[in-house]
Formats: sequence, C-alpha cells, structure tokens
Amino acid sequence: MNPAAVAVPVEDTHGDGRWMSLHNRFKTETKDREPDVLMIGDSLIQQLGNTEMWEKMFVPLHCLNFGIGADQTQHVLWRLQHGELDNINPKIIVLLVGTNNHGHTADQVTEGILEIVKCIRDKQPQAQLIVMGIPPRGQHHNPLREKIATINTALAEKLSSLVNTQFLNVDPGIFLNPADGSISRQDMYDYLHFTQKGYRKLCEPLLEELQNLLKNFVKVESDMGEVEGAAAE
Amino acid sequence: MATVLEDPTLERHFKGHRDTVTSVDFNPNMKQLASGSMDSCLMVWNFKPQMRAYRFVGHKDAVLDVCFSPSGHLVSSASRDKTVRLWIPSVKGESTVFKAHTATVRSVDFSSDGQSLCTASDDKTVKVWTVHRQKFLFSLNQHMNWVRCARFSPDGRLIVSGSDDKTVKLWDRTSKECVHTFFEHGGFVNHVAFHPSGTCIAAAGTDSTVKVWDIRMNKLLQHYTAHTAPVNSLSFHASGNYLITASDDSTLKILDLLEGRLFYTLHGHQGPATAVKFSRSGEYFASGGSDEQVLVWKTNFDQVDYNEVLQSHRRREFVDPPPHVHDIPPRSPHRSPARPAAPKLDARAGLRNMSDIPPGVTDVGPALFSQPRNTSHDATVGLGDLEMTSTDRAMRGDTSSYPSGTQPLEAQSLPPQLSSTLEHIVGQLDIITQTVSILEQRLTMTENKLREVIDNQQKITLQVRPND
Repeated sequence: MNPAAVAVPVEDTHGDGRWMSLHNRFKTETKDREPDVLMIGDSLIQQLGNTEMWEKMFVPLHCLNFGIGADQTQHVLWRLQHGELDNINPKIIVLLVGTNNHGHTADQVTEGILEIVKCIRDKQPQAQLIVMGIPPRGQHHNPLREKIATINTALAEKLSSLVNTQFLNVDPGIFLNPADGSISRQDMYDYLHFTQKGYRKLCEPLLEELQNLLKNFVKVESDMGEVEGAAAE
Repeated sequence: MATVLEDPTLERHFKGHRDTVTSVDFNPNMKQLASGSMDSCLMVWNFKPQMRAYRFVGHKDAVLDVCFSPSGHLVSSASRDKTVRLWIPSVKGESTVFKAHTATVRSVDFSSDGQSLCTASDDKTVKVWTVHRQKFLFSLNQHMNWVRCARFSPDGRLIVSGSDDKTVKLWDRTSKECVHTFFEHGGFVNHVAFHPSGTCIAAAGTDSTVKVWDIRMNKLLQHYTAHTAPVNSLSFHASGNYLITASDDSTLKILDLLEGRLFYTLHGHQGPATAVKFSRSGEYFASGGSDEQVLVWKTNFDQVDYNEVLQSHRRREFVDPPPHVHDIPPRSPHRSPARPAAPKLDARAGLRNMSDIPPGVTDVGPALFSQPRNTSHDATVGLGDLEMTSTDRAMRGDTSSYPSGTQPLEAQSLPPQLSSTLEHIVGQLDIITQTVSILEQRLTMTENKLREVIDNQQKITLQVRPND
C-alpha cells in the first residue's frame, strides 16, 4: 500500500485549522469563480500567487491558485477528491507536487502523482493537464536532487502515453551554476522556494504553453528584461 | 425618530429563483420586472399583488443579463449557453433564440430606438444586431479578454464596453471604430453604464472602486472606493445625480455624484449583491443577490428637495450640531471636516417582520409541465379566500400556489432614541473611516514628494561632484 497514493487530509497538529480553512475557501471559490486555468500543488504553486508576475501574466488568463504549502501527494489527492474539482470547468490544469514527500521513495511519489493525474482525468476529462517537473532543491548536490530526477524521468515516461496530458519539465540546468551545480540564492532564497527572478525562469515555458493552449496571447509591456541586467551579487 | 420619508424603502421582495440572481430590469411601463439567474431561467414579476410571476425556461445554462426593449414588448436575455433569446413577456412566453457568440454571452442591451441589440461575450467581441429578424450588423473586435458588459449611449451613437483586459472602450457606432480606451489598472471591469445625459460613463471594478469618466474630455471625473469588495453592478438615476452600486460586500450604496460622496448604504441581501437597476423614471430601483432574492425599493429621496434631504441627514447624524451647520451652503464643494455621514438602512430587520407570501409562479416554456397547476391569474380572489387558501396550502406544504401578496415595509420597531443613538454612532464611525482614508492619501502624497526630493538631491550632488 503506497502511502503517497492514498488520499489523506493533513492532520491539524498546530491546532488552528488553517489547512481545512484553505480547503474550504478553495471549495467556495469553485462556486464563485470561472477559471480557465487551475493551478494545484504545494508551496511552490502557492507562493506563485504572491509574485508580480501573477498579477500581470496569470490573472488575465483567469487563473485560480489552489496551492497549499507543505502539501504532499496524498494531501493534494484528498483535496481534489473532496470538492476542489467540482463546479468548475477549466480549460487547463497545472499540477506541481511531490517535493515534500520526505518519507516516501521515488517510486512511491511517482505513483502518488500518477494517482492524482488519474483523479483529475476522471473529474475533468475535458481539461488539458500539465504536470510540471519537480525543480531541484538544496544549495549543493544532495540525495534529494537525485530522487527528484528519478521521479521526473519516470513521470516523463509514464505521462507520454496519456491523451490531453503533458509533462513540462523545466530544465534543472537553468537553476544550477554550471561550474559546481549549486543553486543561487537569487533564484531560490532558501534553496527550495523561488524568488521573483526564480519564478520568472520557472514560468516562462509554462506561460508559453498556457498561452498556446488558450490561444490567448496577452499583450503586456515587457519590463521583465531589465532585471537580468542587475548587478550580480 | 429619523425622517423616514426621504429614505429608500423596501417595497417588495420576490422569491422564486433557485440560484444567484445575475441581472434585473424594469419594464418601461412599470408593470413588470425581469430578472435573470444562474438557474438558467428568466423570471418576469408583476407588480400587481394578485398577479402571478412567469418563469421562462429555455436557456440551457445560466442567464447573465436581461433587458426590456424600450417599448416593453420584448425582453432579451443573454446566457452562458452562447445564445441570446428574445421573449414576449406574457403567459404564452414565445421566444426566438439565436446563437450570438462562440462563447458565453455576458451582456445584452437594446438601443433607445428599440431597433438594435448589442451583445458582449467571452469571445472578446461586442456584436450589434437588428432586433427585427436578429440580423448580424457588425462586430467590435479590439478587446484582448472577456468583455463583461456593453451598453448603448442614450442617443444610440456610442457603445461603451468593459473587459477583463482592464480597459473600458468607447466605440462609435457608425464608423465602428474605438474612439477611446480608458485604462482601469486596479482590476477587471464588471459593469459599465452611461450617464443619462450621455456625457459620462461609470465603471464598476473588481478592485472595489467605481470610476466616472467624462467622455468629451476623456478624463477621470470621480473615483469612489466606497465598497470593501468587488462592485458587481451599477445604475444611474434618471436625474443623473445619483449612482447606485451593488457589491460582493452584500450592500447597495447610493452615491451622490454632485457632492462626490456616499449618500446611502442599504443592507438587505444576505451575501453578495449582484445586480441593481433604477427604473426608467428613477422612482424605484431593484436589486438581486446570490441569496436568490429580488428586492424592489422605492427611491423616495429623489422626490424631496435635495437640500431638505441633506438637512435631514445632518440632523440625524449629529445630536449636538456643530455651530456652523447653517452656514454651510447646501451644494457648493466645501471642505468641511465634519461631513455628514451616509445613513445606513438595514432592510433585514424589516424583512424578518414581513410575513411575505411569495407570488405564485407560472412556468412558461417548452412543455415541461403538461398543464398549468393553478387557476388562471384572471380569477379574482376575495381577501377571505386568500387567507384560507394560504393556510390550507401551507398545511399541505404546497409551495407553488400562494396567491401573491406583499406588505409594505413598516418603519423599524426600535425605540426612537435607541435608533437615533445607534445611527449617531454609526455616523461617527463613518466619519472616522473617511478621515483615516484622507489621512492615508495625504501620507502617500507626502511620501511620493519626499522620494522626489531625495532623487533630486542625489541628482544635484552628482552634478556638483561628478568625479566621486
């Protein structure tokens, strides 16, 4: 029995019920809003909602953000099975989860993600599903990076045969310093979560794919270029 | 006791929709009110107490906008099923349907001559059609995202449209060109409307603001942040002096455009207020919300001399009037620190008192019911019969055949001193809120000025010592 693939809600160890509050809020949003794009996952998706890029590039596409920090595959699976896919009809669903499954092996996590894919396919057969590859973490090379790489390869293979589903793996090389493979704090301020700059790198291919699929090309004055010229640390 | 005569009063409340009400419109003959809802139905309510309401079935998905033709003979409805239907609001309920767009149709509006229709859609276009035979005339294609609302100007020569691409566009109907674009940086535009004079437009935004632009000078005239949640809908009073807005914060607010401030706040909906409309004369207004209710109010304050209304507002808010209240000329733009706050009215207290019997509803539309379940609406029912029938039916739990009956809202049942003290407190809170927001604005201006000064100073030091 794969614990990463069995839906389970998060236990409220702190005592303030925030996870459930977030889940309930998301359920209300499915009734109020009409999203074309739905983003689900853990803190990497959640914090995307706080970037400047979100307002400029994602909001005009009618995006909804259902990310919750520290969520593992089994928690996301539970949320999707308990109301977060009801009432809405998005054209695209973006999924990014798996980096928090610390007690599970790479195979278990892969299976967990595939279980989520199956759930989404069942509930939202008309939507295009984009599964994002898990980005690398940790300042230097570490066993988690290898585990992530294994998961990503397995996912790429398993998802290639599914219809309306694609695997979008952002090349880990763009975050790694070519000399020593280290991650810069400019991209990930704590070597796990992204900075504004890091998100720009991560989301460029994602946005392109979204706009292609939606055939909605958002015209925005490009001020993104000027940050690249900033003095290096 | 506060002078209730000038305040808006709740006249009717209609129940019958099975989901959020999205739009309301009065028949120009003032005998009917149309409302559209997410339950895919169009309902036409009759104001005569005995008359039944009609539910028009036919759309396959939520109805998002409804509009009566200027003659009152037709009602148009725009739906998420990508079609627009034109109905005759009678018991026969004949309608014609045409597929207007390739995506959800968000709004529909008749021109003032009743000859043309304009529709706005999620397919980013605004299209204009003839009413006769629903012939397509032309489409306006410059928006980059969903167009939520499009309206004709009173003279029919211009069309204004609001879109999720954060712009409000003004189009010339003859040349089909976009003559001006107003940028709404804060959020999406939910609703747009023309001022009755045709010289200004107002836009309701998801950033909780209402903006009024002059379209001759293409300048922003007024900007209200009266609401605390997205503003869903707005409507100008026939005089052009007032604007009523409905917001997700469940309130309706009436804005005084001459004074440039909030005039009334009305409570009554439980949950977001999604639609609001003044009648053609301005004597009544109707509102709809996600609580599935349609409320009809009598305006009242437009009947009385404007100065007297202001005086009564001031009397209500100040137990000890400041010494200079009589020196303030009623209409000049004054910067007095103690501005009378807008009275708040809560219809909920009254609503609980009303033993309201919802009007009987006749379902009209493609053979859903084999025969009407109730006697025709022409049969007159004596008052005694009314009582008996309603209790009888109540016992049987039959909810669909109450003869319609409503009672006018009674004045609130609190002791007068208590209510005036409460209103006083509420008024003071309002003043505090306004003062804080003005202080915030001043602080922002000061900070901006400071930043400018620092920048200038840096530039000057660089010039003086360029080689450092």
